[in-house]
Amino acid sequence: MRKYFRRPNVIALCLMLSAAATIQPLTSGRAVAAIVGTEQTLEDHAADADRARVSEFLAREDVRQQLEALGVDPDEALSRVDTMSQEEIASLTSKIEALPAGQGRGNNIVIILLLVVLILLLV
Amino acid sequence: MKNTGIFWHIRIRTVLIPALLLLAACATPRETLILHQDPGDLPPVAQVVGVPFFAQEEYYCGPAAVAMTLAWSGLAVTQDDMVPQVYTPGRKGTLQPDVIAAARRNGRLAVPVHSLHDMLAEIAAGRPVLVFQNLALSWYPQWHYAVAIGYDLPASRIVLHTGPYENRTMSMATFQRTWDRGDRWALVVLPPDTLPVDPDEIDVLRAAAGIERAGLTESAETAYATIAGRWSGSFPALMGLGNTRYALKDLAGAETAYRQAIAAQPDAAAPAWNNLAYVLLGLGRRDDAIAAAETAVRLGGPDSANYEATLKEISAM
Repeated sequence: MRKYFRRPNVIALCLMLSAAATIQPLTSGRAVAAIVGTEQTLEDHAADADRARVSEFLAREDVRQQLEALGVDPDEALSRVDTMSQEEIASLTSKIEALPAGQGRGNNIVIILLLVVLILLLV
Repeated sequence: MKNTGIFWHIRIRTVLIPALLLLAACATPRETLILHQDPGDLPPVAQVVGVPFFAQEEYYCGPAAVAMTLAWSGLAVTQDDMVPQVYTPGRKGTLQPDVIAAARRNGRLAVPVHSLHDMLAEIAAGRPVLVFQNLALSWYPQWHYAVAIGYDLPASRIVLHTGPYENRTMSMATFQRTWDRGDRWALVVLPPDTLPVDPDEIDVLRAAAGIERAGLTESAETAYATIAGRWSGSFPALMGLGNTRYALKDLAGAETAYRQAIAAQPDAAAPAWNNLAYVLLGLGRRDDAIAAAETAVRLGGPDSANYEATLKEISAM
């Protein structure tokens, strides 16, 4: 009985999806001529800054040494950053920002390990 | 057997020592400890004078704390004025986004404070800091907003306007624990011509954009001008300056700002060229407007469809 009632729902869903697929190009294909908002500019800028911060971190000598000790090629890690999405980059920068400034190297190892794991998982 | 001995030795080093360090951390939170060992350029004692005190009515720690910081920043507001803006009756409390929104709706920069050191630096510079604490346990929280207005490093005390208490002192270590349990949320609420002591460009830009979104265009314009004064090459600040001036119908001022934005990053200035085209059109310089729109199209970028539409629209006029 259950199966019988499910069918119409599936068909309805298909219809809705195909309707959405035909409507979408009509609406999103038309760009509106307008002033570019400050927030859009700001978020693009923030994204670039995040990316630069991750690259800077991975280029640091102590970080490179740690990565090498873990068997990761630092340049390979750096090139992976370029392929990461904005969300992935943002999650990495939040980890980097959590690093206490001016702390002993010992403290950093755990976070670097975390970063490495993140990079390996995400890419 | 020899191997086991080494193994145990390593185990002791890797397990026991961090465990002891953790215990030590329980005694005094690390950040507080560091501040005592190395306060850097912080003066040992500081107190912000002239922060108005509003004794909190039941459940109104949010409205009271927001009102105190806004009143300090020069606005004539009271706790009751803030209730409709920040209080959520269903939750018998105040949500953090509402605190930020209230600051923006009143034309104030709400900028996050990320560390205890930065908090004390703001206080030393004469700004109160709105703080969020969990006064109870992580699994049985009692959320609370207060305003930090002073500290005494040698005595390891912090001074708060909190709940019904004016100028209440609290041990720095206890305060840090309650602040850590509240997920380290703190804000300075500043007039739009004032930046935090050690500002982060993106943080203050987001605060300014929040004022712009709240519709306080003149305050937003001031904020962008202040940020552009601090970072002369800040493309988003100059774009914000241009956009707010355009909204205020200051076309000459908008043109100046967009041209500064273009000079700041000529290769990635397409949004500035696009917006400049509208300003030039408004100034009656149609040919210049078309040339600006063409430059935006030539530079391209993720928003290139918009630039093409702009060029088409302006050329048809």
